Amino acid sequence: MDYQIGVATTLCLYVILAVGYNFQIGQAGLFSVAHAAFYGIGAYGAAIAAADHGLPFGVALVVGIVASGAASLLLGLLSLRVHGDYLVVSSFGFQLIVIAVIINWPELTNGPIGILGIDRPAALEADRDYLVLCAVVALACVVLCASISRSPFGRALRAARDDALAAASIGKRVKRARLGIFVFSSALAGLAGGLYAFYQGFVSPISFSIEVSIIVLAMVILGGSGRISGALVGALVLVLLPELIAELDLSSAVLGPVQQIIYGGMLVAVMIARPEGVLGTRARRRRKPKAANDIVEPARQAA
Amino acid sequence: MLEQLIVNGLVQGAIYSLPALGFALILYVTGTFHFAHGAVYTWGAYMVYTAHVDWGLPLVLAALVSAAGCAVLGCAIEVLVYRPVRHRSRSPMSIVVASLGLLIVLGNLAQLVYGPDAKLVGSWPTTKLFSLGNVNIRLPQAIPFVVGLGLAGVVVYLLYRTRLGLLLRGVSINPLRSQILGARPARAGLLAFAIGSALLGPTAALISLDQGVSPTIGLELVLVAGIATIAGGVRRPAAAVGGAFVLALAENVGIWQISSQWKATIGYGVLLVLITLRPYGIFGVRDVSELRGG
Repeated sequence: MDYQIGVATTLCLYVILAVGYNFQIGQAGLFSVAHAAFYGIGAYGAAIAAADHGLPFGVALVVGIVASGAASLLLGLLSLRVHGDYLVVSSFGFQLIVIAVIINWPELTNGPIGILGIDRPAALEADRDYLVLCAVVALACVVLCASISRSPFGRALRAARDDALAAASIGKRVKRARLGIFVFSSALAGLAGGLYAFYQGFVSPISFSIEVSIIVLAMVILGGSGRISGALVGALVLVLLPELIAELDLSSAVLGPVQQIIYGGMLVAVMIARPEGVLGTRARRRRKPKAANDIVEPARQAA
Repeated sequence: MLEQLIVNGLVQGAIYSLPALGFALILYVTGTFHFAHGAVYTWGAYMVYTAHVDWGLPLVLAALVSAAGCAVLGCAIEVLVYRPVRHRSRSPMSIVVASLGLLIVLGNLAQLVYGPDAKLVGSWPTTKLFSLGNVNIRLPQAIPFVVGLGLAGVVVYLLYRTRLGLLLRGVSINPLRSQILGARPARAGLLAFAIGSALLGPTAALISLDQGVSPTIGLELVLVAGIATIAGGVRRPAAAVGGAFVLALAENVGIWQISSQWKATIGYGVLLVLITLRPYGIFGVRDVSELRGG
């Protein structure tokens, strides 16, 4: 039973990560690969608050959320001013640098060893109770994302994604909306990180490497980006899949790389075969408006 | 001390300029953000290791073997992955997703084949060549500097002074018109992948001697290449060489006062400052329409 509870808790954490990230890349069109970094900042924020300063559970979670929100605000202010391609590179760098900072700053983070002794409050001591809490939080995040998506703010985001100039010309504050959703999505990752820190009781840098960003990306892409149901199914499949692979009885030195190859290979395969995602339908595929210079496209594609 | 750091920065800049030029060339001609460049580099470094250590070839030959291997791998990625993706999806992000997937797949394949631990390739003889002021110039500095700058010079010459370069630039600037005039954009794109990837062979030889080879080296390398490309200005591939020197000098002079493990962080700081102040690059031309929007 402990095993199932562990898998279910992991699933809840990945649901929080995936719905936030799905919102950010699917609806707002902000393609970053630093989601695991914000997850890690939240986890370390909560861990430092709880283990080093003895702050209570709820306060420590808030510290984690604020830490990743603030970090994403800084990255967003700098990177969202320019074309989306720059966000890819700067977030890729951010992801690598956050891990480097965690490893190189032992006074704050205890370096590669990580922070131990993050104790849960007595009421959540049992894993079963903690799972209930994580499930409730995950559900709340899903509902929150769904309602924001249906709100005027959500429509403004999609309008800005499809045509930033047109959205701005009818008075939508494109930059502010994008920055807002980037910070929101990263703060959710910080929340998931805080929950992770208290679940595990310790944090270490390897749990937040770029591979984790790729896993979350694979969850969103597999289900079809932009749809909450897609992110949920993606999270379910990709959390259960490694458990199945673990059954194969491979040595641990082989198991890790094999799982990563499957995640990465899945991204490549989905992009070649069904860029709209396995659950996405063709009709929902994002289309550019026909323009006079459309004829240039085939040549560009051939290049 | 400072003089020594500047010399180190110039040497590293010459090394960085090769992957940066390759990344920039591929981006310039095909519009592809080729993150898997890092994974091609990882495999290139293992090819140097295999050829030099296992087969006992001299380092120069090992670098050539690796260059050929990298060119084949880069072209295979273009033909087998990027072309089908471009064919299926118009969103430029599809290519980035596929490219990140490849980066992870190829990096972990390398780990499966060669194991997670660093492999040693050898080390430079530290023969002193001459003194420059109070800085000693040794073989490990002279060779990378000359080889890096020389190869970068060859590619820049190729790009701006030959018909082949004219083809590449023409296809980048206006694929349709160059097609009407008889060029084949697809072929030019493949050429860019071949040249850009082949540059990783010598890069791998220069870096692996002394630093060894491990499965994750490609991640930092592609970040360096990306930062140098943006630093130089994406519309001018040759400027990536300048971007590489700026980045390397900042990294090396930056560790004058703080510990050397912060090198990569300083390099990333350079990127953040640049996209804030000069997103069109240090040597780029200001063209706001290229930067704004989607």
